[in-house]
Amino acid sequence: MEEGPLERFRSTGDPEAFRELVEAYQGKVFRLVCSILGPYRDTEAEDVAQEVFGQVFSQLASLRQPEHFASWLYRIAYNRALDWRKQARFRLPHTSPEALKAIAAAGPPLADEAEAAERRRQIAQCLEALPETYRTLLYLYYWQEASVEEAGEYLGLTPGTVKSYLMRSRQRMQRELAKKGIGIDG
Amino acid sequence: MDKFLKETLGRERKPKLSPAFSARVMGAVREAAARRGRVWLRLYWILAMTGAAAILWRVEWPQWTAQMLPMVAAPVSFLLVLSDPNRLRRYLRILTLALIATVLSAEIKAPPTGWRALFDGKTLDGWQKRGDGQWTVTSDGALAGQRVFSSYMLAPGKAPFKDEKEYRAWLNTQAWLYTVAEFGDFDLHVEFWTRTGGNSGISLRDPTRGEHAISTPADFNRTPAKIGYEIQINNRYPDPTPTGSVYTFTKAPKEALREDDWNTFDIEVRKETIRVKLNGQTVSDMQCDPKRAVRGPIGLQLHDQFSVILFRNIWIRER
Repeated sequence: MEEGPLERFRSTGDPEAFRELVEAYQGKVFRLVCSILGPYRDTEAEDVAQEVFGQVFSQLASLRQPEHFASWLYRIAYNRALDWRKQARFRLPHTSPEALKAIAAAGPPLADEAEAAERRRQIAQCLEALPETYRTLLYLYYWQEASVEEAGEYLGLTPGTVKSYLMRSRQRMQRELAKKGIGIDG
Repeated sequence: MDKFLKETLGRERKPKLSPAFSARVMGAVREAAARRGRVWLRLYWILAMTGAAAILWRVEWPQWTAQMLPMVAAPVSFLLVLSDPNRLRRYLRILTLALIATVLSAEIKAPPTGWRALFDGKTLDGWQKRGDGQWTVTSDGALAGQRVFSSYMLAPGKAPFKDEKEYRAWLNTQAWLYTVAEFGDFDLHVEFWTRTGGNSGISLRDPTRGEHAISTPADFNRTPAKIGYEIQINNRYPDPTPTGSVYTFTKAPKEALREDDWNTFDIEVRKETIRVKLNGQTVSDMQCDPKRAVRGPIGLQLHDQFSVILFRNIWIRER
């Protein structure tokens, strides 16, 4: 059987094998990191993903169960992204309601836009109030459009658990939205 | 709620990974590996050079470094290996080199250039026993001096002494180990260890080679210290002359001695002066007695029946 890039890199340290490994997993790692950092964080997500692969490069030799490489990689990505959030004292982009009203007063098209922006900000705040796993799952499933199986793979959960967590996170989200008085159609 | 989330979150712009991402990662990991390599190389060279310098110049590390170094080096090395297991093999290679260096720089060392060993670490060639001392060479190359007797002989009713005077005469009979050769002006390096309560010394310029000290009773007016000079070794023995003193001539400071541990003498013997360094600190510096000999053998003392003494790295440089 032909050796995969993982085995080749572990046995020879060949950088080309590592490049293949990066190319095979970069998309998934990036999706997971984005789901933790949230929308409009592409540049930061790329930096985090780069750090993740840097860590993988230096620690791959110590991985005792190479067959669990993917889950190990996602765990590193998950932790790195969470660390990034903590270190960056993650703040939502915010514009004060007064400023938004001022923009809205400038004209009808802008007013609609400002209102939409405010609504988005409030929804983002509700998402921020959720536990990490719930928020990540919602972003993965609804924003990144990952399947239940894929989301489970990233977070190390069974499809059944993912479904149950999704249900609970929707309920929590509904409560958060209700607190802010945001109406839901459907 | 499901529909709401699909509409709200699904509408958000999807992030895209830049096409050059893998190239960027490869550049970063290569740079990091090179940086780590450079640090390792530097660390290795610093260690190697320090070790080489220490061996060449016979540096005596302060005691705390010997205790601190493994305490610091072990976890640091462990963390370094953990941080980059790819380098484990290289680390093991360095460790092997370090072990070889440690063996080479072990306690029994070769004399530096210009010096020669008076004791070869294996045999008593070049030495002459005086008195009934037992002188043997340990497997790690030290010279051990002690007396052979059974402690039961001192049991009440069994001791072969009529009175205290007879006991003291037996007790204080000295034994010596002298070099066959004689020396005039020279530098002497010697390391020694003696037991708690131990007393010993190094005899200089006694042409009688301790003749009057090895008989029972000894003639304490004609011991090597009275005929020539004796550099005192005293590890809490009830004698007011501290280690490093030239017996009856100088009084060395007590604190220069490392009690119950290995100590080093560097003795500079010239026609008119004797200077003694104990563990690098000058503890005696004296003018010689013009009436005494200016040449003679070097002797190692077993002060009394209970003396136990170890010597190693006995080197001489004749001037």
